[in-house]
Amino acid sequence: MPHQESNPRVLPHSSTHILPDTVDATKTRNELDHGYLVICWNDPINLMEYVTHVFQVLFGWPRQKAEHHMMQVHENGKSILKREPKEKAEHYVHQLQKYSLHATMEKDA
Amino acid sequence: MKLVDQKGNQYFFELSTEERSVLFDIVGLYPLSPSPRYGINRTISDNDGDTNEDQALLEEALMDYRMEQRQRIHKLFNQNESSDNWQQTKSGYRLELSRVEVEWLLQVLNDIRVGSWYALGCPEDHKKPSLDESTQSLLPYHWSMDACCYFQMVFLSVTLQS
Repeated sequence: MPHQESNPRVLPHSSTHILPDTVDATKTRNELDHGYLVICWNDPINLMEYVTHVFQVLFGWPRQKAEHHMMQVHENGKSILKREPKEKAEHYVHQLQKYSLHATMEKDA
Repeated sequence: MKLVDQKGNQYFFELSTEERSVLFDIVGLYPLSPSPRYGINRTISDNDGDTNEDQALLEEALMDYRMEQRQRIHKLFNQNESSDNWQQTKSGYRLELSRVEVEWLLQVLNDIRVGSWYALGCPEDHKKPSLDESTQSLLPYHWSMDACCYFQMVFLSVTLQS
């Protein structure tokens, strides 16, 4: 039974050797990179309705969820909006700043 | 200013002559601040090459974006050119905006409002200005903050309804 050939991770002539784990390595790298927090900070200038609206537009959130995060910003000083790979986190920070919101990103500890 | 009609994604607002004049004056202030006000990372350091590079790219992109916005504003709010969006009525003006344009104007007005706030020194409470000589030059920023808020609330109520 050619079980070895059916398993791409096992060398065809040895059941004890395993190919370099490229698939897992990529996955691990992605997982590690998937660790940037997009944070929105409170400021005394942006209207609460406006902040809620921006969250809805940018993230496609329902109003209730957007309001929840807006209230977190308002009451706690900040809200973690997303946890994303670096590039996507940068994209969101850029978009939030386009809307004049105080947004930053931080590597998740 | 108030919403008087909606057809699909097109919105029709009615403005008095004074409101139109104020709106023209406000958007003429854009962009108040050509550079972004916040860093991409709150704890940015000079030694962090990647972050500095990201920051520079972000600033460049935002500056380009603001310049594009400026051109759009010029097209929609140019007293000397006729615009399909504006129509004079018996009581004032009718402004037709698509959903995308409403969204865009919201951003522009907020940018001006936040820029005015920065120009005032980021006061914790936006109080009515005192009318002495030292603060006279700041009066336009107080005015633009209030005026932007007025128009923003109308646009926000429209987005909330739809």
